[in-house]
Amino acid sequence: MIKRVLLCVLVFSTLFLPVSSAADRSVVTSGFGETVEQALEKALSEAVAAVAGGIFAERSTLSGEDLKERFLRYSRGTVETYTVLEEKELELEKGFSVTVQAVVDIAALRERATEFMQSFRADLPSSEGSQGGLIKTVDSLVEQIRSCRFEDFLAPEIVAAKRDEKTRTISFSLRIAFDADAYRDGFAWGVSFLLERIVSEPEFSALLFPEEGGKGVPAATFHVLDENQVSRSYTLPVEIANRLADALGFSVKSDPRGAAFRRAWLHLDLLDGEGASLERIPVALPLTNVGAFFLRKSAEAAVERVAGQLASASKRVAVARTLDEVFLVQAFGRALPSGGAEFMTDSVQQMKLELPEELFSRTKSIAATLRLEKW
Amino acid sequence: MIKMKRLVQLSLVALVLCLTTLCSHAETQEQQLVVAEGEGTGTDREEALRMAWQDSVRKATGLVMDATTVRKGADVVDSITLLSRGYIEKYELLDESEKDGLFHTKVKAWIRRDIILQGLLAEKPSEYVMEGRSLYARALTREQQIREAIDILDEWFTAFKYENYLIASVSDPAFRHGAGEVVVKLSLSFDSRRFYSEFCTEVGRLLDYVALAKEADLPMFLPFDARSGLVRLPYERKSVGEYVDLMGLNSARERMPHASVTEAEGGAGRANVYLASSPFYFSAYRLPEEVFNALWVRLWKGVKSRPDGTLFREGNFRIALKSEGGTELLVHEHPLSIDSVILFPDPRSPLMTKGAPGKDQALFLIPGFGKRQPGNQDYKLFPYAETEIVIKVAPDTMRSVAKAACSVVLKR
Repeated sequence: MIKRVLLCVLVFSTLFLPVSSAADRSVVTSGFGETVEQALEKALSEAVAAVAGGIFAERSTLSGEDLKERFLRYSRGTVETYTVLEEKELELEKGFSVTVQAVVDIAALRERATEFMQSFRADLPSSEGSQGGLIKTVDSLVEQIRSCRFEDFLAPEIVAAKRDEKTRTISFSLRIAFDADAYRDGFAWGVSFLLERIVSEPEFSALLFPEEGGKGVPAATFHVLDENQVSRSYTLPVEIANRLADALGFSVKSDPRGAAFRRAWLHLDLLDGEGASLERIPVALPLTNVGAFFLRKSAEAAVERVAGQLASASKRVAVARTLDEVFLVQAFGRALPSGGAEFMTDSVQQMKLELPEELFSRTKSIAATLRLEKW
Repeated sequence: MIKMKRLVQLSLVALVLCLTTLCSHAETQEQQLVVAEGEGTGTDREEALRMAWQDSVRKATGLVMDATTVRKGADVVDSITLLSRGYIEKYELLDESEKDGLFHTKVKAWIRRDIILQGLLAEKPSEYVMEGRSLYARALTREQQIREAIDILDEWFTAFKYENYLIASVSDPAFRHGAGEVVVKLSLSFDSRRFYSEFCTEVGRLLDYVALAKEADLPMFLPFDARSGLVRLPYERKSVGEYVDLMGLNSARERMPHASVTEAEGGAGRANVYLASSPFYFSAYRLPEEVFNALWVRLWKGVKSRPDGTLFREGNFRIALKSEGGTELLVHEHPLSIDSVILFPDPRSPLMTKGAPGKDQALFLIPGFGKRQPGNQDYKLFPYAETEIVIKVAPDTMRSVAKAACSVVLKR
């Protein structure tokens, strides 16, 4: 009984003991290496690893030893300060051991985790033979699509700016080009890889065809088209397809139905000679899709037609109508009320601004950024 | 047995540590609060209460200043007391009375010492108190949160010097000696630059503290002709309705992202405060309904000399005719024909319905001054106004008049 009371006192007491700052965490770790520097490096890695444990627990997609190791390497800079508590040469092991007290910035570590997740990775832990592998892979794909910034695949550029002193007008061309390399490396191949993994999961066929010999469940098709117009298509149960479409931005509120975003906002920053912003001007652009299009269902052959339309898009010719289903393609554009889409890979829009006198005289250059407005 | 002895020892050490921590925590809490009594008198209960808060915060600030070596000066104390309610952790009404239409209150207030200290050390003390905090993250009951939000907004919007944002100027006087008249041209403009740099920062912090949710830096819809490529830049807006259009609030399709503000704890609600944060961007805030309604009635409900929808009881140009040496020879007040500065209601909804805000009303905080249109909910905005006035002057005074000066006086 006394023992129980004393244990209670111990537990209760710890609740009131001071805790360390929420933003930083101090840990003591040791490392071993052939040189003092290597040992120190190892000890600091261990410190990050000790703190990252909580983040691994928060993010189900950051599992797997190899992935954790890569994340830790990526996050070494989050050690704010450290004090070497002990440094000794180990004669038997022929190396050095260093013990440090390190303060790790938890907020920075979390930020790194988000950054890390924003790039697609193919090194997810293998779930072969394990229960729930399909769900994990779908979760991972959804999370990675959600953390993707589709704006990053568009490069707005101000070209041929001219000043007219008489009318105080600055005219220029806004060029928006699709960054196919960034799209392919940072998005498309990762999506394809994970889609491949989803369809090869042992549970997948049972999900698509629940009863042997019976009818399949409602399904939707995802097509991934590469720059050579080669496509890979994946038929997914509508439940999974809906989650992926939702992550890509498509919503029940989408109007037109195939619009992944409400619109794009071009922000023009008028800069003075030293690069300081004098004024910010927003312009709404009718751009609703970047890299992903949801097209109206049609009985006609799909992939060949979209590929043909993309080829036309490269020559900057608008496409009138296409097919249903989700297409991941190297293009941006806008969804049409007819169910089709207008594809673009490189567009140029003339623009001009009539400015008040003082602003006109101080403006020396213009910078442009694009942001997509979600539904 | 040894194990048991070890456990007893461990428990004793832990208990001592725990009690020490608890005691020092209580002591810290005690040290953190400065208790001061304050008294106030006003034409209504709210005003008397505000004056009492200010008095108590002024006294507490004096106590903290005496005990420490921090920046001192009347302007710093004034700046702190401008938003006195924000510094008060809690208060108790000790006494209240009314005599000959004057209200008197006495309060006992608990004021956080660290916030006063930080305020004294801050560049702009009145802004410090709200920095990065949210009222709804504080351990208060919902009633307390609502009460505090109402108090803070009421105090701030009532004490705010709207005339500081009006730039009044007067021409050199022209003399009509035969008629005994001096003619001057008066002009009034709005200090938009100051509005965006000072007002938006200050009120932004305040709203961040009392709003349930916020969407910042929303772009306005500027007219864009894709064919000619011309982006029109409407710097001058002639009515509140123009702001409604530019903010995209007039069309059901465009309104959605701006009207609904995602709340921190899930769910979404309609924004009820719009702040123009730069010429072409704005922020949307959602205040709790009770807070918005209380603020609305305080701002817009009419009284005898002030009909519904006017922010000021009285507004005047104060023109001083001066001698060469700068001595004021004559002061003339000319009525200012404006109903509001910076604060405007949504022109699409009735201002008041049965003593409460009209359905879906919203408050617009925009750079300008304006007058309510007869038979219309909207306000006509004047970016610049000019008028000529004639002042009757006695002949011997007129001989000494060399120049004129003017300022704006707004009475709430």
